[in-house]
Amino acid sequence: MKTIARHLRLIKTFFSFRMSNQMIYRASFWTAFFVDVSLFLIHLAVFQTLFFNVDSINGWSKYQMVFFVGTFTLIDGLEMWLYFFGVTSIPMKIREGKLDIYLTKPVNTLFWLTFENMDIGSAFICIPGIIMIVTASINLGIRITLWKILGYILLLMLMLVLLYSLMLIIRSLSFFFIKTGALDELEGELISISFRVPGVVFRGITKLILYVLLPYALIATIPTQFFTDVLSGGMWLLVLGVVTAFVLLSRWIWRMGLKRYGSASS
Amino acid sequence: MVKTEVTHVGKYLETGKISMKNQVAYRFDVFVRSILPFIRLFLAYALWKALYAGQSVIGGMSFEMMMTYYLITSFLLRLDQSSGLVWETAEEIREGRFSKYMVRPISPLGHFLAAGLAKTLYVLLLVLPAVVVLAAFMHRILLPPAGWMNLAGACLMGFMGLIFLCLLNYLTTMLAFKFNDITGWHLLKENLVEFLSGSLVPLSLLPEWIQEAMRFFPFYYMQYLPASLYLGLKTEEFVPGLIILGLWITGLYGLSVFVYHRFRRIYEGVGN
Repeated sequence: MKTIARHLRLIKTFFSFRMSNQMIYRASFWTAFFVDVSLFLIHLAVFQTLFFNVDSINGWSKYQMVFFVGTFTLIDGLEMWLYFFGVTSIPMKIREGKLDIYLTKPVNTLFWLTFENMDIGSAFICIPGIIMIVTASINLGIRITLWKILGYILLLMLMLVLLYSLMLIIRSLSFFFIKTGALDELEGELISISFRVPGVVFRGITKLILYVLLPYALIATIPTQFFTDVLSGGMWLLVLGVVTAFVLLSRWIWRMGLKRYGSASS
Repeated sequence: MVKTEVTHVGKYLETGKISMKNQVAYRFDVFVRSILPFIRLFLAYALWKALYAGQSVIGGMSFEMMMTYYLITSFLLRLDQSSGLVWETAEEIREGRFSKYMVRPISPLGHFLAAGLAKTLYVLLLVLPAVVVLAAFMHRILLPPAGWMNLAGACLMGFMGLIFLCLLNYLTTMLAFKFNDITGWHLLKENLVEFLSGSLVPLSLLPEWIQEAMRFFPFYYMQYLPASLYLGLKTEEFVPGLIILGLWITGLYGLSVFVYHRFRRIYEGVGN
């Protein structure tokens, strides 16, 4: 309990530090905000273009798709706000030997690296995401219960943890291979496709790959499926299993990588 | 007397050679990069197969045309490697290390173009064989070029598109003289280019009036038109496309030179 409280205090400190830091460079702060908004608008345009040409996607109606895009936008905003810039800076710190300073701090290294670069501007992107979710819910005539809201929030948190683990695995490979830019590109492709279509459209081997081996298709699909349709017990088990497996895998790769870390010569 | 001078073109070739060597040094990255087209095509197949369920044509394109279109646009998009140079050069400006370009007998723009195009050549050598093998194995869903002239036209247009993008990236880098952090500008540009060039969705899926407006901008000719030419579509737009893209390249080149000479005055060379 004491440890959790300490880490929460640290997050608060990181937050205030970043806030004042970003406020010094206001132009950068607002540019980041406009980038997020532009990205959201582009995704929306892509979605609109695709839906303009097809009536439904594997039985999912237009408003289910709006809910799906809203959920993805919300997850995207939260990850960019909380840990995206922290995690993506890890390879550079490994390459340039800047990890030394983090290793000597009396705080968990990964925790520090994860939260030190919170991007407050990205949090604003959650607003259009929430608007889309509410609009879709109203149009779908969903009966909203406390269970639905709590379940949805739980799944959102699980998906944030899953996305974090996937990102960390890719960045931790920098301990072994130094340059991993191509993997970043691959990650971008996988995230891009998981945003454009819900995972329910995939079948057979594709589904196995995108639900279990590279589970990017779960990220926005599962919370949407739970809220707008039904999520079976089997799917709950699959989600919990996949999230647990990737958390453990990411931790293991990170620890193995740290053992290999050779300071400035990495 | 030892001849120390290098020819005008030679110094840029040397820049390119060094840039190529740097790329080859990372074998794991080279390996992943060479299998990326296969993964991309697999993902595109999954996406478009789902969208084509129950219909044979979307936006005037059959499933096979869409797959071929997607392969060409993602190939062209990945050929541009000057985007990565933006981070490197902007950091050099920020940390005061850009001074080396000012004292060397080499133009920063020439250096940027040489390094960017060398990286492009490296990716081309690496990815092209993979794409050819892929096309041969998946000939049922990937179409051959509509004709040799179409292929040549697509290559020329694609190359000009790469030059334009290289210049645009150089111009983005120049912003580092003015702003402390250009990450936002660069990402904003990347997002817009990706959408406007038709690599996310074919521009033929957009309403006609938007397509009409896009014909005045260079992005339309960077990926969408080369891919369309390859498929035997929009051939009548080849010549106007060359003229419009040529004008944009000339304009952007002039602007790049002007901006560099303007911004170098505010450069202190001490870093921050």
